[in-house]
Amino acid sequence: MRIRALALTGVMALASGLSSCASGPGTPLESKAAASAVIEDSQCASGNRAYFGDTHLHTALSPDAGLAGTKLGLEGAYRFAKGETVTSNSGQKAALKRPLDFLVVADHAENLGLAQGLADSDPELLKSSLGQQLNEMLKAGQGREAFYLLVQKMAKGSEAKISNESFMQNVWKYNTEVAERFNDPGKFTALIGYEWTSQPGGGNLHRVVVFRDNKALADQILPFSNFDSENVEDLWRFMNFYEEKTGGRVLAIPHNGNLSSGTMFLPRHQKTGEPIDADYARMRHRFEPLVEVTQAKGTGETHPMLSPEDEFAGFNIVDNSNLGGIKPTTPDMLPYEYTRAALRRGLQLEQQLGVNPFKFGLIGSTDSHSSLPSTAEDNWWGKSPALEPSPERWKDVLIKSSKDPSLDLTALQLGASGLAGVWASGNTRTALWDAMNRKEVFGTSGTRLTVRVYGGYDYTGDEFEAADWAKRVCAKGVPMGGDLMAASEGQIPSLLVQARKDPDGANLDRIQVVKGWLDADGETQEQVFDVSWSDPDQRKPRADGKVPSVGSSVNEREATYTNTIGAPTLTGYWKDPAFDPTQKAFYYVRVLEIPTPTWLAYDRKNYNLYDEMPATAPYTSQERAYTSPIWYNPS
Amino acid sequence: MGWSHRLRTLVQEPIVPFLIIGAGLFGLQGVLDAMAPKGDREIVVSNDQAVAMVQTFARTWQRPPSQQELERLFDEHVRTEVFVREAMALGLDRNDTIVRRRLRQKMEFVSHGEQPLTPPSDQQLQAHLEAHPERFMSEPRFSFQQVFLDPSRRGERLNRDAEALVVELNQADAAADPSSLGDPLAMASASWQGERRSELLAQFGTTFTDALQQQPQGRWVGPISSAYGMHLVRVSSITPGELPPLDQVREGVLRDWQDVQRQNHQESYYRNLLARYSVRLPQF
Repeated sequence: MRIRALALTGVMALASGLSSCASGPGTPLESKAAASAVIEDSQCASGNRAYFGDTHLHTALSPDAGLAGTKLGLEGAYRFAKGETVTSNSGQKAALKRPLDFLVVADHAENLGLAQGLADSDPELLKSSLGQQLNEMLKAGQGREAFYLLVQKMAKGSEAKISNESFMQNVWKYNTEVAERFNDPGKFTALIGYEWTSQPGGGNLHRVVVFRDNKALADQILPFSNFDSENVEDLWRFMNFYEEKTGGRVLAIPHNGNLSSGTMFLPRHQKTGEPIDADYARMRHRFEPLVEVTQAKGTGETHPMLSPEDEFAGFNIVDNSNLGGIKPTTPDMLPYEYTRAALRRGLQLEQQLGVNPFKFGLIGSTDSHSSLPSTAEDNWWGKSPALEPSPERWKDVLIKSSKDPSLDLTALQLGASGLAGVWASGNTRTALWDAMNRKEVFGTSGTRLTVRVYGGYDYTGDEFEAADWAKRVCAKGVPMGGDLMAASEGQIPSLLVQARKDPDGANLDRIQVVKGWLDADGETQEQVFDVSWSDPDQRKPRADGKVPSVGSSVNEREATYTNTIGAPTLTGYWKDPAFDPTQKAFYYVRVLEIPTPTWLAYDRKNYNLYDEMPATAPYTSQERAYTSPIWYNPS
Repeated sequence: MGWSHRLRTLVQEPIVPFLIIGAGLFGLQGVLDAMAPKGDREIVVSNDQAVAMVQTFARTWQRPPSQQELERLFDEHVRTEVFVREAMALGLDRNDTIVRRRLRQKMEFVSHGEQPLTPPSDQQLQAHLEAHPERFMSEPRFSFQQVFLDPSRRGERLNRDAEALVVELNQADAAADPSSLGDPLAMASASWQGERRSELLAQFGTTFTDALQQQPQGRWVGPISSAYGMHLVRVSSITPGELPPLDQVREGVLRDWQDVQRQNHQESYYRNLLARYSVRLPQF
């Protein structure tokens, strides 16, 4: 019933969209053109260049950001991403050292544009009784109380709804208009997007919705919000509706699962709690080709308790509670929060359902709420206005639990993390979106190290000699995100990996392959292999097969390091030593940098906080990149 | 126009969301009033203040407040005033860095409001453009070829190899196919045509890009280093960045001009306030 009502809303929006632009040059209904573009931009067509960007940025249009003091709006966000100097929310000059190639502004769909609308006493907002109440509170000087009231209501779902369709339409059209204005094909891409913010019981099920299309198509709908439904299957139905009506394409990216109370990758229907079926698996597989593996609020690759053999598993772990700060995380939740565990479970589910619902690629993004997408440890503009550079930011509490201070999410837990690397044929909306959709992407903890991996049966390891090796090896195999065909007699898959350091960053420590597989008993397993590393003459694998640490050149006190250890580039050739052609498997690559100082170390140095900041805070880390997997399926 | 225009203006206006939060924290008028002489136990709502409150209410609700509503506005004002004064008397603001910083920001924002918003003339914008060329210049563009030499492969031989290769390349000149020479560095083409500086920074890093700018043109030279190793290069042309005509960058120049006006205004506002104080600093 809910869906019918939604579809109706959509049709009405569509009708008005069509009537308003039917005569313009950008007349929609270009489904044929869109379809042929998808085909042209197939695997092996991607260029020799990885584009870096952020798919998850909030501006003042997000109600939480706006009410928490974010002043920079859409223009500020795009200008900053393109490399311009802007005045930050705290009044400081802010600029990236290198611009981003693309940006998805993903403001919360729920009450999009609220803070400005209330400040403006927008008559549409005043039509809602909560809007009136908040407006009255604001005018009476109770801004903070108004904010808390809204947050309380948000936790209860649709009670918090203030904006109506007409208000939302205005804001959405403004959003797409600015994206259109800043989109500069070839140089900088502004992909249209928003965030669906479902968090039943405080568990983070948020998704960023990314359009392949331009304003003419995106304006034909209004963002599907948590007020419409908190059930992800309804979101997918809405996405399907959008594609059918407009001929456009859209994908959704689940956020960091670590704050989801064990629900992000739980293979159960949200509404009924019943185990998922093939329909669910098909929809998820179709509409969610990617997962955000790392962002400021934690890295979701794997957890030390899930991967006790993985010595690098404990990276940027944030997992004492869920997003609401309501429910403590317990060990039984972990397998449903982390991507490696989900990739493993996907193999099992595919066996049962015929479709793998968790066949996703990996990216990183910031989830910054300050309009400033930044991930450099020495130039981190924080996750919220209160986390912009200052001598106090390390003390900040990002999410304060109403129940128990041990469930707080504190600044000390945050990482300057999350970049998306995309192997696209060019810097345009369609090329980037298509590469995302085919999972030819990787995620980094913020560094711009690049990594590429191909899998196939005919590699020998000598391929790197050719200048155009990527094109050649792609012709004989598949890139990241791809599927290996069933092996014939005697065939063993091998991977070719090439990694380059961030040209202005730290050297590389090692390339690793993470393998997950479904064994003969129907259980899944995982193993991490060191494939290549710097100084192989000195660093010989130990008895357990693991390569010794690269060491550290970090001076934590001074927040410095030298590139005297590690390697600027690494290549790896790896042949699966335990390949069983009858077992489903996936392989993905992890590349580690040498240790470098964290933003906390830079702050401690820059603001001279040696006496104040805790000695136990993480001042050094090994930044890293994760590629999308390559899957092996025997059938 | 209309709604989206208003929204855009508001989003650009830094004071608005701040006021929302700030108003909740202490009430702007209250803070300003409370900065009046201490020990004052009288709270006066002036006619001007009352008129302002009524106007705000009327703007919001499109009607004047009822008697009861007006009383409530006064009550809210007095309540805030009492708490703020008591808080100030207890010195709660003094050691709280965040309150102090907010107050400072608030004062800085207050000064924005007093700034007249006369749009600049074309001449003013043109002058601004010429006064700050570095902010508006287009990017330099580079055309060059490169051959990569991998130090980890060549070790001690690297410099000798490089010298020999430079000679060889220059002799072969146009006939040389640089893509067949040197060591592989995937993702880096041998030939670059009219490439933007920012792209080179992304691909090779700062050291290489800066060095490339210094190289003579028309012949093979090197090696110069990048993040990845050494490169022999042959620069065919470097087109310097240029100052675009005003019409191409008008929006950016206007934005920048406004920023500068705001800063100047803020600075003179501060200087005027500062003039009321005598400042003594410790001698180091």
